[in-house]
Amino acid sequence: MKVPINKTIEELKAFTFERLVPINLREKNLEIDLRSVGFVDPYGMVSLIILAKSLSLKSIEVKIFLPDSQDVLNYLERMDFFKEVPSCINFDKDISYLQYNIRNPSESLKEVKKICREEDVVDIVDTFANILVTRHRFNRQTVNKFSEIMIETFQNIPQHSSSSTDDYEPEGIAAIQDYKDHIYLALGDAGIGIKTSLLQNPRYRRMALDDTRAIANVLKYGFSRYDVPGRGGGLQRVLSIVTRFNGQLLIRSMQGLVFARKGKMKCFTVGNVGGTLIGIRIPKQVFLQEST
Amino acid sequence: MKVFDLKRYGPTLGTRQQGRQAQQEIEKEIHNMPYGEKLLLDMDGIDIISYSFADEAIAIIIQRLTSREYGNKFILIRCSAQDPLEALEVALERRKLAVLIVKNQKDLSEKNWTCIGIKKDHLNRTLEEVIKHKKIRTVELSQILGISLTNCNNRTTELHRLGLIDRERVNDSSGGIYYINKSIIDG
Repeated sequence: MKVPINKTIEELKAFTFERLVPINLREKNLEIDLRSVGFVDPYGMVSLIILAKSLSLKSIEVKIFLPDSQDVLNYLERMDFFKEVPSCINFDKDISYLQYNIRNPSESLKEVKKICREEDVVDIVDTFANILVTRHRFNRQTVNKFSEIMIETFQNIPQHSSSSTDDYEPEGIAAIQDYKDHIYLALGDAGIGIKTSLLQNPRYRRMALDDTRAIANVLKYGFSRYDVPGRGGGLQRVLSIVTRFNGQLLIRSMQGLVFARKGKMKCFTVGNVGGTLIGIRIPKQVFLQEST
Repeated sequence: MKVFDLKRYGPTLGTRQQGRQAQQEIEKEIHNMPYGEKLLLDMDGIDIISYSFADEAIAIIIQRLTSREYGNKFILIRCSAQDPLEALEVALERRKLAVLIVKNQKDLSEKNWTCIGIKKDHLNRTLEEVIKHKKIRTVELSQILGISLTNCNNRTTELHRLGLIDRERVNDSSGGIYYINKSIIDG
């Protein structure tokens, strides 16, 4: 039986993405209807890729009804959506012509990179950072702090997205885009999620840890899967930089979602998407100031 | 004093994996140093040091130094910019450690050093006096600070445990002992 996820949405971004998340993962066929989507941001795109990957890992057949909007289709093509989405996903129309369109006519910042190995992280971060400094003339000091955010979040993919026993090859995706008033960084992987990663540490096995608490404890107390002093400070550091820049941090892992802004955290229980998604929004103003 | 240039890993000191490689190479240098020797980690020219790299490459080494795993040896950091030190400071605070930062090794005055990591005003004040005097007996230091000898001894013991000063135990002719506290910047 085909189950349509027919909650039509007009924008695919943080929180509106939640309306796409299927509740019943026991079905063998799912249809995702994006026809009325007129806007997609990096978080929306990365989360859709991770959702598609998670569903394909569960051997669920997925058909995506692509947006009617040509602009959105062009955007998805430019952001390598069709390359990154698993090949077993079916689309309702032929999109092969999109590859002949001009890839980035506005020359605005729209970058996507695949993250598989820890040794590639610094090169990817430097690539993003150099674009921000040279092409966009952003303040070097602020970009350096933003690079710290990228390093800490990107390296979590090879370090934490698989357990020590499973044969899942760590693979994630990161996308960055600039808007009129902010920069958005999104990344995700279809790995084991934060709670399962933390439960590799015997210290937490007796705790009543759900997905939301797992994320909140990482951010508040520096929980880590490694029972070694000094570990677990990376995401705390990310939160501290994001807060200083008056930005927003969203971490979604399995059924947990934590949204942090202005030093406050809001926790939500959401539908299960495998893996972990992170969205970071920083006001553009901080990149344009002389010093931070 | 030996110098270890962190620029060999590039201007971005990023992942924990990269930090682990640096940690092994720094440790090798320390093993080859005689007791009492200092290692200067040169961070001048580094644009970014992440929390993970700082913890793995530097904080872990300092932790081992403070537990005297390598014997009586010391680490200093040269870094003229403030920004790259931020993540290192967070890593040290988490492990309740500290390190001395020097800005220019050739021109060392009071203004050219700072201490990052755990912040305790009374220890900073004591450290300042030791660095100013280069070598000073605990009894003289206690008089300058206007504190009891026992209190002063506790402070210098803690500074020595943190690897921020060197100490020499001296047996005097009357059969007693006293300590000479030495600055590791001017040694």
